[in-house]
Amino acid sequence: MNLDLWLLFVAVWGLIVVDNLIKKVMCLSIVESMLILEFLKIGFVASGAAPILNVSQRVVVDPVPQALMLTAIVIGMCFNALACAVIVRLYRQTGTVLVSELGNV
Amino acid sequence: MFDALWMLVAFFPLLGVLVILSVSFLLRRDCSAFVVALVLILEIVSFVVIYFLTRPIEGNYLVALSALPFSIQFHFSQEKIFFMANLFIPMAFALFRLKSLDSINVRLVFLFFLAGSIGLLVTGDIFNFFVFYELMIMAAYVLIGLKGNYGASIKYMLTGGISSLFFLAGIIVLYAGGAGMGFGYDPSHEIIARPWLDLGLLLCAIAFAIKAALFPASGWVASCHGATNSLVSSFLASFTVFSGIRGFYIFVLVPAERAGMMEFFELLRYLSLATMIVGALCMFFETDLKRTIAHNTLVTVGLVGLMCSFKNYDLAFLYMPIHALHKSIMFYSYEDLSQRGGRYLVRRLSLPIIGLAIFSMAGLFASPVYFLKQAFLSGQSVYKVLLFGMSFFVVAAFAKHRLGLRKALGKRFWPVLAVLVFGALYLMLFGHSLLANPGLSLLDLAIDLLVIAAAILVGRYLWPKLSFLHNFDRRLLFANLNRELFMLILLPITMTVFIVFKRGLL
Repeated sequence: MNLDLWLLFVAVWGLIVVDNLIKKVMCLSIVESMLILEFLKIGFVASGAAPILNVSQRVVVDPVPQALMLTAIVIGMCFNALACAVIVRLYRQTGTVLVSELGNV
Repeated sequence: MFDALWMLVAFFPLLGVLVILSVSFLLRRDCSAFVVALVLILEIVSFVVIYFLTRPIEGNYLVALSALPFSIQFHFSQEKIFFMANLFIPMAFALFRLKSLDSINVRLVFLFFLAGSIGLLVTGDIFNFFVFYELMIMAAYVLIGLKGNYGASIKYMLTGGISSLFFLAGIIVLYAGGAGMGFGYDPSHEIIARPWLDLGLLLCAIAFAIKAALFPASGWVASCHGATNSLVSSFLASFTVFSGIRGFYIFVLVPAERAGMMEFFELLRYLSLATMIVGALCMFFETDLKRTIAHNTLVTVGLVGLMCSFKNYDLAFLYMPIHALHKSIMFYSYEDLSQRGGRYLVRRLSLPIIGLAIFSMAGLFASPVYFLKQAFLSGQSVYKVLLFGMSFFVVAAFAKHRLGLRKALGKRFWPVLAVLVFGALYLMLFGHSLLANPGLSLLDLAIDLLVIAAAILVGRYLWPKLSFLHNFDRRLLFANLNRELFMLILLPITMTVFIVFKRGLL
């Protein structure tokens, strides 16, 4: 099976089953990384040059996935940082990051 | 002028952030309260100006930042007026309750939230929709934790994170199939190979079904909307959730209709029906008033989704600002009742105001929702019984809280006055409507009265006897975060199976 699908399967499984909130956020991060890799693969051209308009080379990689995924990476990083900050606050408040001990929040 | 205003309107809150930070660092002064109020006023005035400027515009109006392919573009069409109104209403209410944003940090986050919300309105491409949605929702994660309920915040983060990943996957699949970034806004960007279109639409449908809290992914709504202060709750319940419905409309229903893929309409219909029924039951068995108000959003989401699934877009979009008005009134009145002392006149008036909002939310006669429902049901009589049932649950869900409200008010005079005022209003409006429209059904009025009477009786006598079902959503259905996430994963599986089965791919 494709490595991406294995990653997806592991991350979704972790998201539902794993008890630790930080690990859940890590699972989300894994899925996001997988998606970013997939999108970059779409724009990839073997032996293609960087898509700079002045370059005389005809074969260039597609710049759109790169531009979009840079934004997605920044958003993902913000999400992870924010999630970790909220989990730390939650830990200070309740003394746990385990879903089974938190009950209905 | 319109082009410039439409492009700039999303950046007013960000300019506000810059001003606050500059004054804070350079002059050591906090001008955040003034700047937030100024930004809200500027946005409201801009919306009014835009409304008058855009009246002659018909169809899709696109403004690109440059002539290059894949340029950032802004989009306007007449249906956006409804969404503008949907944001305009909580913004206008927020002006009177800015004290609840009690520190400079919170005000800065609120401005980011506003920037994301307005960006969603003005954007004309799918990727910027994603970016602005993330900006709005990340600020919302912080605002939900304002009162220290970090559990609700993390729940919203995980739900929002999962839906965003589905949306990102949808964008990738659509791009891989050849779609442009103006997908959904511009038909020329929708030239795309068929298997990619099927998969892309399905992924977008899943993403927006989660964002719009369609069942079974709806457990987070009451927790998250009930966790924070009324100002934020009113924005979340009126604009954020309905951005999901709007995304479903732009990126799923519009392209699906153009491609003749009617399965997505059927799918939305079933999901909306399930959301309405579960939302009404959760609302009825909820013991907390604020969570009851939050659950009501699900009933409205279901009804709006149902209207969209029958392509009654105008009715659906008109319902959204009306819902925003109800929600703002309800949340603010709830805050008045729960926090302020008996000295305030506003507290005395809260019960009649809440009563009026319940009456209107239930869609009973003479309320705007009643006429919307009548227009919708004129072609769909099968759903009439269902909608009367929803009205019953809405009234009954609030009727059971009457003792708490009466206790909060201290005197019985006000509820009696409220009943008298409503009775007089009801008869007056019915008389007026009967004169204006002689064909108006007396039967509908009788059923409405029956619904009110039954709901009050059930709220009073039956509800206490069903104590084993009280709060069943948080005790059984969404008992902990893992179960909630499992339900969330169930939604994409169900949707995929439905589409695959309907398209005969199995």
